[in-house]
Amino acid sequence: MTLKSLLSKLFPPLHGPALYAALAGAAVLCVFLFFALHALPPRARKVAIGAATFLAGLFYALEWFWPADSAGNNPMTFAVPTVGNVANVLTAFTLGLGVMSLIRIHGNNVIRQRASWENSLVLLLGMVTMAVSGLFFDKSMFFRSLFRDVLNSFDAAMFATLAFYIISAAYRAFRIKSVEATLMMAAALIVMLGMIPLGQFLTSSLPANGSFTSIFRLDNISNWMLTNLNGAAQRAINFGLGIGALAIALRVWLSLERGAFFESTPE
Amino acid sequence: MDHASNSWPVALLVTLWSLVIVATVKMAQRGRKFYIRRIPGLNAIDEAVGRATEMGRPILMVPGIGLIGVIVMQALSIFSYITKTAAQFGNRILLPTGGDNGPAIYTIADEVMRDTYASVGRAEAYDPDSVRFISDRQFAFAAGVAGLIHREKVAASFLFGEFYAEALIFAEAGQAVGAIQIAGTTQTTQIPFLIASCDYTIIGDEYYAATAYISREPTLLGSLAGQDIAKAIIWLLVLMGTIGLTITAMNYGAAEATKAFFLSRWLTPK
Amino acid sequence: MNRTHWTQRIDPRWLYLILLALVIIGLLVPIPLPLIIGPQTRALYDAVEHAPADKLAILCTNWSASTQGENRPQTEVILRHLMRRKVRIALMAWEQQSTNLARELVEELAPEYGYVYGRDWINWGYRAEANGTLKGMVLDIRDTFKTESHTRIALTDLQRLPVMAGVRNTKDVGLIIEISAAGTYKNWIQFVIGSTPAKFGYGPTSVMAPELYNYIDAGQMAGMMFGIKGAAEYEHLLIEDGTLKKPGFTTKAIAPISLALVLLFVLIGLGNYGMIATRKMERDA
Repeated sequence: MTLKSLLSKLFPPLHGPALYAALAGAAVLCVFLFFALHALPPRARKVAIGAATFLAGLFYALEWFWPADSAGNNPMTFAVPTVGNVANVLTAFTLGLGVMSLIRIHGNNVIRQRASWENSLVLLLGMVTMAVSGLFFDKSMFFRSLFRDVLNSFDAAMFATLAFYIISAAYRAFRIKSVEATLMMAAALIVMLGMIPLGQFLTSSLPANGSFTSIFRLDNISNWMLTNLNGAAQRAINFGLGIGALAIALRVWLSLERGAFFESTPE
Repeated sequence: MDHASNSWPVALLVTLWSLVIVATVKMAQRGRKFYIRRIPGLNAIDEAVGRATEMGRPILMVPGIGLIGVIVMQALSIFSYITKTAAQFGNRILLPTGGDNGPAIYTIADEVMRDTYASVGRAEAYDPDSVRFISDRQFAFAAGVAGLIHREKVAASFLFGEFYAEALIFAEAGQAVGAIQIAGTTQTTQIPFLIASCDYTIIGDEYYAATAYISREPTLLGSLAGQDIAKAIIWLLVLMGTIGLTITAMNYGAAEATKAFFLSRWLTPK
Repeated sequence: MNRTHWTQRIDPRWLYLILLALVIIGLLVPIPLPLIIGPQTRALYDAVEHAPADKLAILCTNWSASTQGENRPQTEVILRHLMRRKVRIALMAWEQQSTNLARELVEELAPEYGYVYGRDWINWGYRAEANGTLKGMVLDIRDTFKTESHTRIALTDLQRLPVMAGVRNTKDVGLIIEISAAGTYKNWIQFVIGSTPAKFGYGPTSVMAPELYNYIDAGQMAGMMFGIKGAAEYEHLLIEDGTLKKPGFTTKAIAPISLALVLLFVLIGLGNYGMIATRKMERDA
């Protein structure tokens, strides 16, 4: 018997009242677990959290290491979407807490008429209007207009501000203060010139390829720099980041860290 | 589908790296000392907190808009160390969260900050409004944080985590109010913007070294030493690959070299 | 006394104003500029041109209104190319907004090429979690999405959705393209590419481009067009092959970008001149 068929037998699909009863049962169990975890002494709580973390991580580790058949499946692969959904559901529940935080902070601003409380009022009204129209009038012209004309425009406008910020940041920071800075600026100028038609025009009389002189074309130099110099640097950084992520994942999975999260006892 | 059996040599390498990291962590926990080089950006953290104290203005910490995972955890870990210092001096902190996982990050960050204040014996000083969720939309979050920076006139700004286009908006807003800014991100595309706008930027895997550097905790230093050994293994493989492939290409031609050379055959997934 | 050269005291708002003026001029005044097609864009074009016409092509979008200036023209040129070749298209998205924005774009272009929903194209809709979805797609696409996203017709209903005929998993797909403002290419490479004969092409925003060259170099990505410049290059290739009659807005948008970069060069030069002048003033004082 495979793990999949065993689980299907133990937890058959439920419908109607049985489904609601199971949901209610699960909710009660979660509340019980929540209070049980809080009632535990700190040391036992740490062990419980460590064990849960290890088991959760073990699922993905085992799923990866277990040899797969020719279709790319092993006995645990079928459960990957379900475990992913569990994570999604947990994350979705926190949205309520996020909204509570917004309402608490901005509600207090309005009630106590703190500085710029008007902004807080607009935020709360905007949030309620968008939520109500999206939930109950999602086919209406009003909601479509809010989405298309207001949200889309605001999003595009915020992204567009980057162009202005890049201009002022480059003007302020792109200075030839050292050899490294000079090299960086030279590289940036060549890549930028090689990318834009105006820069490409400068060396467009040289042959595109097949000739020695073609290596002096700005678009070719720019492409070479992006593929070879930039590519090598990106790879090196990514190797470091990958190993760094592996290390922190191992520390969390195996509860190797001391004095990190979940340990609030004063040092 | 991604499985170890697609390439057993890769699986072996992952196991080897993991064993090396766990071994060095254990060695460090048993008292072995490891060296860590100077990272100027991280040295400046205390200076930034000190400046905020002198000016009596808040400290901003943004954990990026990435999904819940090791990057966010690392950011919160760094912020926890910053907050320890800030809490002792009575600085106000602001920690806005956003992105698809913004609400989840908010709940974890709130817990971590509360714990951090408690760990320095100042639980009563924690202001629940200091950690706040702003929006799950990238640019609504960007606008919210930029507004916060301008209104609160933050004295120090710490941007650690996964940042995208909003990075420059935060950094330029911080620049406009004269904040001292320290940033670190795993998103290599954003590093040039942060370098242009921030006072200090930590690059690449310095991001993961940050907590070890600030805290000098043996576990983290050991982990860092293990990471270096793992990277040395990669470096050796790259060197062997470059020399081996070049020689193979001379004999078999460039097109056939990757198939003929044993190392590239082993490390290419099925 | 701390004296600085006047160039160091320019209010950034003046710079913003000049930039705004240049962008408007670039859009209004036609400036004929030569456009050299980059090797990455050409490789992407070739991948689409040689994708099997009898197989489904997946067009995944991961952009919102914020980056539509870059990503919308990219999506449009790919759609036009696929539609001209009569390749069946499946839309999917990692972004709530882009599922609607891409759908509107297809609906706008469909009458021109005689594309009918359910027969020539389908929308699998938006999925929040990429890894799980992609792993599922490698095993079974119909089971992963269950229904299309417009009227919730089951993907197994081949009577009403003939576009899904012969499509069981990603092995049955002829081409995968993602137009994106975020790094979801990694998820495709990790979970899908390698297990399917389909080529994988990418349309990122300009700022993302540097991190993608490695994947093209390694052969995991067939090609890419980055930002609006890549879209303009692609548009030129579509004019060459007769898909399009004349250049559209995308090509026009190259002029303001060129002008903005010229402004950047001038400002960098001015900034450095100011720095040297300030140093001299300090020495003299």
